[in-house]
Amino acid sequence: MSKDYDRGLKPTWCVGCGDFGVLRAVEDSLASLEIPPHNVVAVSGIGCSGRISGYMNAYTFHSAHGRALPLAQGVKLARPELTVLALGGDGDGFAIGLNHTLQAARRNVDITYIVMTNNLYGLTKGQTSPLSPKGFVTGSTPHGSLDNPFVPASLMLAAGAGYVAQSSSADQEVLQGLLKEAIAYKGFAFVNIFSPCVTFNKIHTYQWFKEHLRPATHNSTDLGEALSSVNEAEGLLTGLIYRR
Amino acid sequence: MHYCIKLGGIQGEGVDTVGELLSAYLHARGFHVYAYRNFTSRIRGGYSSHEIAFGKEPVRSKQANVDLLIALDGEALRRDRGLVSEKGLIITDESATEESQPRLLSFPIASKAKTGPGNVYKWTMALGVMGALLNIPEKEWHSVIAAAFERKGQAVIDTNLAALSLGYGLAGSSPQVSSPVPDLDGSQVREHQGSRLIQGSEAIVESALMAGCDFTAGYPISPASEVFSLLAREFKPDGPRRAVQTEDEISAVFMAVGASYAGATPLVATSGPGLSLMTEGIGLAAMTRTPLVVIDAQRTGPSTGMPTKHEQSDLALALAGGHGDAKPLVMAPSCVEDIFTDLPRAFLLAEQYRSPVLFLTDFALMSARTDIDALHFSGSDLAAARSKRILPGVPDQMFHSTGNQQGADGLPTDMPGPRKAYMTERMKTLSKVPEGDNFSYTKAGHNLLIVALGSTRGAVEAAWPEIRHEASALYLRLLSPLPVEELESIFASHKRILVLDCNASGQLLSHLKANFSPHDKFCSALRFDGEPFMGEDIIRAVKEAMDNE
Ligand SMILES: Cc1ncc(C[n+]2csc(CCOP(=O)(O)OP(=O)(O)O)c2C)c(N)n1
Ligand code: SF4
Ligand SMILES: [Mg+2]
Repeated sequence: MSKDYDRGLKPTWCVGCGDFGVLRAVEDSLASLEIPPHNVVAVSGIGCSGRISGYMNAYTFHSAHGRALPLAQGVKLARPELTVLALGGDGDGFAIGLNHTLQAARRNVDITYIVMTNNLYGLTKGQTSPLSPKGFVTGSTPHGSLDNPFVPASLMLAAGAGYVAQSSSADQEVLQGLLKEAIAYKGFAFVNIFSPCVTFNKIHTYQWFKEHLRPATHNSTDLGEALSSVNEAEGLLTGLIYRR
Repeated sequence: MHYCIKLGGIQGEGVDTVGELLSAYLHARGFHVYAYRNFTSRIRGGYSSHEIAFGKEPVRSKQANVDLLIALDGEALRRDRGLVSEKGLIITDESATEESQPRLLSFPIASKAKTGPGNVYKWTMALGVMGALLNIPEKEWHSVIAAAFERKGQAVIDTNLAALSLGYGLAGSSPQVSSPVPDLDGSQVREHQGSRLIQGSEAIVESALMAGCDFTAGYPISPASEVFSLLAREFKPDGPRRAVQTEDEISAVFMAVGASYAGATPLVATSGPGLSLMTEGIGLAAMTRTPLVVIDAQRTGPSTGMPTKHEQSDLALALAGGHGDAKPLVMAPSCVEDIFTDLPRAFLLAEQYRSPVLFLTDFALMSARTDIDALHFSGSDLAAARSKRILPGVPDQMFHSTGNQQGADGLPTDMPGPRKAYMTERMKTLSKVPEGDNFSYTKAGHNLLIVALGSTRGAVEAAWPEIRHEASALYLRLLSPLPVEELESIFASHKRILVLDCNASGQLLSHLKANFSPHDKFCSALRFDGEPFMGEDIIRAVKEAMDNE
C-alpha cells in the first residue's frame, strides 16, 4: 500500500510543483514492488527536490548539496540487502555533484538515482543550472545564460550507466513503470524526471514539456542508437533510453 | 648513546630498499631502530635519503648528526656531508667526488655495478662495502636478504647476494678504518622475542582491523595513501566492495558516512588538503550524529605545501571540524604503541558520542619505521555501543536523518527552541571528557612542563636524560574535549609550561591558552621547516625557557 511509504507530512513545496508527482510515483512504485519500507533507504541532496526524503516513510537521509550519491553508495556497499535510492535536483546532480554522478555510473553500485529536473535552482530562488538553455534569464543570469546546457541522458550513457530512462512527473503511468524497472534493475539505474518549477521557471512549464517531449522509439538496447537519438532530441525524450 | 647511518642518493635507485635491509639487520641484532625516510614528491630522480638511528636504548626521533654517511652521488654528498660528526665516516662513489681522505672513502661502486649485476644493484653493493668496513661478517646478511626478497624469487635473492659480495670485495683492499659505530660489532645486543619493526600507517591498519573496521573509501594522498592500500589488500575481493577509491575526498567521507549510518565500521584516512575537502562530510556526520573516524596524517601546508614533509599544522582545522560548530572529537596518538589503543578507542568514542572523531597523526609517525614490543590487545565493546543505535532494516523504527537542523522528531526545523535545545545537548555531550588515556604524563622535574603532540614525543624522549632534572613531559592524546580538570593540577604543579608546536602559528599553544590561565606561564617552541623536532631542539628550548624565567 502506497500510504505505507508516506510519512503523512504536508510537503512545503509550492502548490503545483512537479516534485509532488515524483514523490507519489516513488511511493507507489515501492508499494507495487512490495519492498517493505524498513528495507528502503532514500538518500537525498539539498534543494527543493532534496526535501523529498523527509516526506517518505522509510529510512531516509537528507544529506548535503550534491553528495547524495556517495552517501547512498556507502549505504548499499555496507548493506547490500537494502533497496537504496538517491534523489536530488538538477543542480545537485549536474553542477556540484556532477563528478559523483559520472563516477557512480561507472562504479555501477546497485542503486537507483532519481533526478528532478526543473532546469534551475529552486531552493535558492531561481538561479541558472547546468541544464538551463543558453540565453535563459534568471536572477543570476539577468542578461541570459551564456553557457551551453548539458544533456543529462547523454552524459550518463557516456559515463557507462546501464539503465537510463526519462519521464515527465506529470505522466504517472510512464513514470511509475520506469521507476519500478529502475529499482528492480541490478546495477546503477538513472531516471531523469522533468519536474517543473511553477514558481521560478516560466518557460519550462507543464505545457512546454507536453509540447516538447516525445516518446523514445529507438532500440533501447543499442547504446549507439540511444546516444544519437538522445542527442538529436536535445534530451527531450521520454521512456526507456537504454538498458544494458 | 644512539648512532645514525644515513643513506643518500637518487630516488628510485634503491636507497629505501637497502635502508630497510639495514634496519632489519640492526633490529635482528637487538638494536632499537628508528628509520626516517626523506623523499621528494616525484617518483624517480631527485634526492632521497633514508636515515637509521639505532642504539641499545629505545629511539623514536631523527638524529641531528650522522655517524656514517653513504652518499652515492654528488648531490647527496654535498647535501649531507656537513651532518657527519667529527669521528664519522663517509662512503661514496667515485663518480661523486675526486677527493679522498682518511674519513671519506670512495669506491667504484656505480661503474662496477654497471659492468656487473646492473645499476639497480649498486645500493646492495654499497651495503657490502659498508659491511666490510664495519667488519660485519658477510654471511650475516644472508637471512636478511632472503627474507626481504622472498616474494621476488630466488634469482633476485641470488643476484643481491652476489652484489653484496662484490661490495665486500671492493672494500677488502682498502685500509682499516676505525668504525664510527663501534657498538655494531656483530654481537647480539638483547633478546627481543615478539619485537618487530612497524610504521604508523601499518599500525593504523592493524589496529583498525582489530577494532572491526570493515570498510574504507579514500583518495590517494601522501602520507596517508598507504592506509588505504593496506586495507584494500586485507579486504578480500569476494562479496560487496569494501575498499573504494573514490573520485575525491568529499566522496570518500560521504561514502563512509553512509556506510557507518548503515552499520559498518568505516575508516577514512587523508592528509591536509583532503581534510579541507572532508570538512563537509564531517559536518554532516556531526549534525546527523553519525559515528565517523577520520585519520589526518598531517604534512606541511597550507595548500599543497611540501607534500612529503613533516608538520603538525592541522590542529586548528581539526578542532573546528568545519563550519558551524561541527566540533568533532580530536585525538592524537603520541607513538606507534598509542595507535593500538587509541584507534580502537576512537571507533568506540565515535559510537558512544555519535560524533565524528578526527585522529591526528603526522608525517613522521606515519612513515618512520621503528621497533615495538609485542602488544597485548584488549577487545573493545564497539558492538555493545552500536547496539544502542537503530540501523536501517529494522521494522517500525524508520527515522529521518538530516543535515538541516532537526527537532526532537528528527524533521527539519528553523524554530529557535528546538535549535537551541539540540545544540545545547550536543555541546554538553561533546564536552564530557571520557575516562581513559587522555594523555601520557612522565613526571620528573618541577620547573617546567613540556606539552607535545604526536611524534614530537620521540624528540622529547631523546632529550630526556639532559632535561629530566628540570622538566616533566605531557603528551596530549585527547585534544577535544580537552581533559581540563585532569590537566589543571598538573599544570599548577609546574612553574612554566613549554608548548612544542610543529607549525608556524603555535596552534597547540593557542588551544591551551584558550582553556588555561595564567597565560604568562606558557612559553613556546616552534618548528615549521618541514623537519620534525629533534632532541637538540628540545634541549635548547628547555634551556631558553629556563633562562627566560
Ligand atoms: C555547498 C553548498 N553550496 C550551496 C548551497 C545552496 N544551495 C542549496 S540548494 C541549491 C541548488 C538547488 O538546485 P537543485 O539541485 O536543482 O534543486 P531544486 O531546488 O531545483 O530542486 C544551492 C545552490 C548549499 N546548500 N551547499
Ligand atoms: S520553488 Fe519551484 S522547485 Fe521549489 S517547491 Fe516551488 S515550484 Fe517546486
Ligand atoms: Mg533544480
